[in-house]
Amino acid sequence: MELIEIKSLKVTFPTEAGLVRSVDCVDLQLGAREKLGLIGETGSGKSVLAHATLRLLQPDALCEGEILYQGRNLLDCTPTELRRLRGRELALIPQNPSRALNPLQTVGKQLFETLRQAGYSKKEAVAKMPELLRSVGAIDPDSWAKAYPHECSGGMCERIVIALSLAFSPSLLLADEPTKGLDSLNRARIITLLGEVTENRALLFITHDLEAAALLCTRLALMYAGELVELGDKAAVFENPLHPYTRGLLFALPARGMQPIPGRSPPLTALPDGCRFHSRCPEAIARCRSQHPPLFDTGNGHFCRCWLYV
Amino acid sequence: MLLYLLVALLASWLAPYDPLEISGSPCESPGPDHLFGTNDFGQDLFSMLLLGSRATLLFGFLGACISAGLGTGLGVFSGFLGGRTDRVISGTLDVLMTIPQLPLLLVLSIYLRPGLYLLCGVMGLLGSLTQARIIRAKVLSLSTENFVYAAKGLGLSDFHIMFRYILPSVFPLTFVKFLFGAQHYMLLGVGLSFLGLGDPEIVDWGQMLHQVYSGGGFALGLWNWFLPPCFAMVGLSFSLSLLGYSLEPWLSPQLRHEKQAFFECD
Repeated sequence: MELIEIKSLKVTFPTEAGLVRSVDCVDLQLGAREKLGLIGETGSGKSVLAHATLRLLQPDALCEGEILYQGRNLLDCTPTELRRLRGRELALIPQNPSRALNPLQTVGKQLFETLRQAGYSKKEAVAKMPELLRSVGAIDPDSWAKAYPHECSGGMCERIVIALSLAFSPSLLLADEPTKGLDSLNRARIITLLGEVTENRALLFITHDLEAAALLCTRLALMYAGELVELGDKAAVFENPLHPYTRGLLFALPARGMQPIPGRSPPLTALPDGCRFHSRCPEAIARCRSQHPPLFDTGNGHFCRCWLYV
Repeated sequence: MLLYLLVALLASWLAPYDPLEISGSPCESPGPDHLFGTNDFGQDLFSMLLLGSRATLLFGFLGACISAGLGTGLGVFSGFLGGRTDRVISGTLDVLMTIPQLPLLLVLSIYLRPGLYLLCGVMGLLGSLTQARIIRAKVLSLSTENFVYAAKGLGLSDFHIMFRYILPSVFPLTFVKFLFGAQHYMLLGVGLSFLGLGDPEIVDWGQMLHQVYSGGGFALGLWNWFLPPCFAMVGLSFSLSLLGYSLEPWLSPQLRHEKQAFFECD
């Protein structure tokens, strides 16, 4: 059975400018030890999807559809049930790790208290803390434990946030842009670390970093303007990208010519008719302007939302 | 500040006379027997000043404790839990806030002749309303902070987040309000007694000033009678502010760090 199954999930925010359709009819499945990379540009709805999965969106957000975790619909859970699931089953590695730590507590104290909440006794928590810090690459756990978050570097904070998320040993980690704002060496280290710690768990890796996703994940999902545009195995997506947007992203990589995609993504309050990418698409045909394409199955678990593959 | 607290605690031993006892002739000038002289009944002013610090300090700190404690509690609950809890608490606060503070205290002390503690309680309660408002605003902005989000994402309980994440973050604010509150309530207490509305049994600085006024001390220019309580008040206010500043780095690890760095630069 799939660990988590998202079925036609829609997330909308009512605003003064109109209804913002952040996530529109997304279907995704994730197996027990699968690593899925969710790729998209800023505002494409990938973080909203992760927060919707944890039910951490602000109260005015409207969620429709189903998010089944081991057969249970998370959208129907009570706040208490959700709290039990968060951390213990699904844990979030938030964006901006340096701001995701309590600025008034030392790292050690935060870890200790999180471990205590996870049900460890005081003794066990004290014993487990250095072990946990070492598992995320701390050579000297004691000095890390004594530091306040503002004394830590970006890479350190990222590691600490990962350590915190592992405190409950969850079965699914949702990593929200963990490589953002890190230098290339630290980025590579964090990717390796994430690979190590998710050996026995599932990972939803949210990023705009195609190369990081390729190193870490087995499957890739690309989002554009709130919907999935392509979904497939890593190799298939990289070697045989179907959607023009995916091709555009790949050509934008430094190794492949660094060609930016012209134009910008449409505002989520006023999405265009037809395909949402048509105004920027070099291969757009007449049909793309009027009719919205569904997600086509092109075989071997490779899906694409484009009229070119009817 | 410490001097004030010590004086208040040790007043009975330090004071040479019982402040209510008539220990000399009326209106004596300062001298070796009576350090600040005596009032129109012949009571020793120095002893009155020392013992008066007790009631004044108690009034201030008790009132500030109640207002800071209650206000912070209400503010954190209301701001963090949101929803119906927030609506009920802030609605009640809004209604209670329309009650004017000073007139209420005046009316209460005139008609009920309440003791010091009741007055402190009422004052603290009223003061906690504004305190709760300020704390709630701070908590609302904190609740959208990334680290509170992350804590929720880890599945930590609401109480844990409130006590470990929110409360320490608003504590400096509470403490500053506490010190200012103490200052404010001391002055208010002195003001009430000056108006002759305090407990006549309890000596405090306001009552001393009241006696100066009614006993003709101002008209006669008896500076030894009215200046000591005035200076005592000014000094107390000043030391409270200094205390506030000196405790700031201790309250915030970030500031502490900066201060250390600053000293290391030297």
